[in-house]
Amino acid sequence: MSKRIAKKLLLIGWDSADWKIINPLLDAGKMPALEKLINNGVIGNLATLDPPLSPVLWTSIATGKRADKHGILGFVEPNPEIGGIRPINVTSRTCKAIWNILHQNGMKSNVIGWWPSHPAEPINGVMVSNYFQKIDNVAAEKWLMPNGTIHPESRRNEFFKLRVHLTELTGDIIHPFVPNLHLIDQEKDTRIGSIAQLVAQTASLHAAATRAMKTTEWDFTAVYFDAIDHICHGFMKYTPPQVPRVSNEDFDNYKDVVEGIYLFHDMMLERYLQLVDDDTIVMLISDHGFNSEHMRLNEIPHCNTAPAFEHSPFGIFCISGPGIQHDERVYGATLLDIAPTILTCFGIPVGEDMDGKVLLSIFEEATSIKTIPSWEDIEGECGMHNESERINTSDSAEALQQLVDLGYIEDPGEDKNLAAEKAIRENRFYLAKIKAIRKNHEESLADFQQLYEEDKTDIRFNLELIKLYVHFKKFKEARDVMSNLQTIKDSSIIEIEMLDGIILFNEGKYNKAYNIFNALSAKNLRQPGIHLQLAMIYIQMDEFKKAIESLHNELKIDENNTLAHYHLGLALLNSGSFKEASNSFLDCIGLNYSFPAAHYYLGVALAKMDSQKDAIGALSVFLSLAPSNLNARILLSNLLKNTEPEMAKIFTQQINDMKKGEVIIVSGLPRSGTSMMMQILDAAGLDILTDKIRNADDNNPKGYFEFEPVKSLARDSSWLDQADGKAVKVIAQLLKFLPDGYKYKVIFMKRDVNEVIISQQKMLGKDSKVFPLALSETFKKELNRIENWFQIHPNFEVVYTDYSNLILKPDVEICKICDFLQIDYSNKQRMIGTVDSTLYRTKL
Amino acid sequence: MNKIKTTQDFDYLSSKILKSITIPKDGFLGLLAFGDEGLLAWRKARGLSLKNASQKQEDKKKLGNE
Repeated sequence: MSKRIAKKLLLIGWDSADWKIINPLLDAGKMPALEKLINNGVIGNLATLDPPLSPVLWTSIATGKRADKHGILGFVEPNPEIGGIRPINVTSRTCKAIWNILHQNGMKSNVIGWWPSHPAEPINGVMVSNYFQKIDNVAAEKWLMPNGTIHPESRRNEFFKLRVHLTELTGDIIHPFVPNLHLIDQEKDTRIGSIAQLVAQTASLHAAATRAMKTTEWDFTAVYFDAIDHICHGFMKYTPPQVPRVSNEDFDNYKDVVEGIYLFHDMMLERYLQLVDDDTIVMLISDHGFNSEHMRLNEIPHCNTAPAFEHSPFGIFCISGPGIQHDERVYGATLLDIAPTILTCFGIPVGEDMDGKVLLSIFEEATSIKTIPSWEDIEGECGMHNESERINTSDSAEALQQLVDLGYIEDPGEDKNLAAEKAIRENRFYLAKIKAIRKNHEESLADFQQLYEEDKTDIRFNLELIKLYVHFKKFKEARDVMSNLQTIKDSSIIEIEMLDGIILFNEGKYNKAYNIFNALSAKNLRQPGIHLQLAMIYIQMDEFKKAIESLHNELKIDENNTLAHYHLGLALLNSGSFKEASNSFLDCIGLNYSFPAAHYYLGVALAKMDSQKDAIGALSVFLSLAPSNLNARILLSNLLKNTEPEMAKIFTQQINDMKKGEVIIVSGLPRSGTSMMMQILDAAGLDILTDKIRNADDNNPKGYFEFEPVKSLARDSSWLDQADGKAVKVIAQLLKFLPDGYKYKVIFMKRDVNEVIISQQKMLGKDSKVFPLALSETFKKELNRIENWFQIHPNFEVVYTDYSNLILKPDVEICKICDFLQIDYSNKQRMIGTVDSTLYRTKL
Repeated sequence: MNKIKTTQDFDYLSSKILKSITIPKDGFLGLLAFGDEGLLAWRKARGLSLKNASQKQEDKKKLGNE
């Protein structure tokens, strides 16, 4: 074990808690306990995971692993005993949770209400399962507690009495949530009952947690509350500002419910802070956020797990206690990081098979991470159930009904087999999604093709399949699925329009895609994604100013949109605004640390700002996330060659081992002397990639030296392997489509833009006396943009050759070319001989 | 579902019984937020005790013996 930072750690889970709702309450002084925690600790966003389902997410929190590794895939699972389905239970978890690992390290835990945790695991400590607080529709006196709810069983009666039944609650308890309570006719309006149920359940769990904390010697306590999530699903629509679909009466009656549940949680937090001592680290987290204000949905789609559409992608993270920094922020944290970070607090090695990382920046002192290959390999008692453990299925009926009532699952109805089939299909859906997340796109596609064939009416299967077809550039197949999607009753017209635009964008049909997104953006829908897609098109069209404007519009709708921050960084980088670009990439990384490209371009921007040390840091992080990348190595090699030449050499060696090839590119505007340069290289004895389809003519009497497939480079670059070690002509506008993985040595021809235009006019048979001024400005901007572009693409090494200099002083320019290409001068005279000054026919 | 009692239960806010326990500034909700002790105090204040069926049987037996 390494150094133990915390004697004790209290982990509190508030499902769905969101900084956007909390911050105004903090500002108003309404959450004093949380404010205390924040001021003494570290806060940040906690990125959620896909699938965004609470049992899956809270198990990822407890294990540090994604669902394909931990086995909890949804709300329900087939019931192996009596058929049909039952709520997911802890026996389906296939790996150890934090408390099992602590158990193996001789530590004691209390785990209260974790989802899922039924039947309670036989850990070293107290476990109160997530069935503890569930209230069925019987009178308080008949309210039973399922077997397996409490561990140890000897404390069953003690905890039994700590459960609160909703019929116990009186008006004064509900009054803070609903000040108009006395005006509401509860015979007609059942919403008060649902609030009471959630308050009662929360009070039950809180009473159990406080009892366990006071009556046991513990190292770790984890307590989970789901009321914020359930209240938000039911009442967020009534919170200010009032939306048109909510009546004045409903708004007046229920506008305080969401605030009320947050304040109640703060009051409970106050009690926890009283119960812990100075040796305890307190960590408060949520599994995702909840869309509020203008991000609220007008309508929830009709499909399984539909409420998850209301979730936002970032939960809260707050930690305070011994060894933890004060009044600081942590960036890039995800749910997967919680378990490794907690283990590190206890000085316990982190499993290398965990998907998360340790949040090292939260600690006051530099902390080393110890690892072991996997805790699953460590044998011995760990407080998990035996393989043969099975839940009493009749106990789960009420919990199942609550999931139905909350809208998380469809009513399974009478047909048990159908319900079980659906549950299995749901699990397959989420496993297929995780495969795509793990970049196993082929298998994910096969899974979604099968799911789609089984049920073409499920909107989610349609959407995921379209995404995958687009990924594989199977646009026809994507459109076929989109046609099917259009026939589904609940599909969104706007979403279909957006999909159409996304397919067109990926086909490279930017003008058509632009028309769609420009029309959508003009409607001022405040729909996330429209301005982002528009900006992505602008970036492809090199309209960076417009892209920046669109991205600012997108961020006004959702300031936590990581893709918008990333593309804003790209647009700023291409505009030469390196400082602003680096800030945008930092914003992106702050929200999603595992976004490799943002680290890379942050490194590029920092290198341009001469912040060499920081650039090296950013690029190193990038390589840890994307180890096979060539461009970062090239940039690192350049950055290190003066200060750490040995390290630079290592990178150079790696570049030579990894690169797919090295290609000489002759580029420039058409009629800037590119064909002449190709002749020079031919005379130098270099291999030229040309198919000679385009014959010599009056405009280029010595030939064009072109290669036909270059014209379709934007769509297909598969021919590049034929170009390895050869020289090929690529006009300036197509350079950006050259794929990564190659090193390019570019000879870029520069010629007076006005001469270029007149020469082009002559070639096209147009009146050379009519000069297109606008075109001249466009070309100048284009050249400027390309020069900027070269600066941020380190795999492009460039030499500029001036056309008129080449004609007038061929000796000087050709020596420069030979040096650049590292070829000797033996063919220099032959090369000079190809320069025909008589062809310099358009001079200004 | 059983309905929550409303107006009649507001009487508890001024009940004499409450004088025997300290009510947090947040009122009865504050008692629930205080955890297990708060819950028991709240029940005591309202004169409630929750018993399951087996406990009720035991009570009946005791009464019978008396």
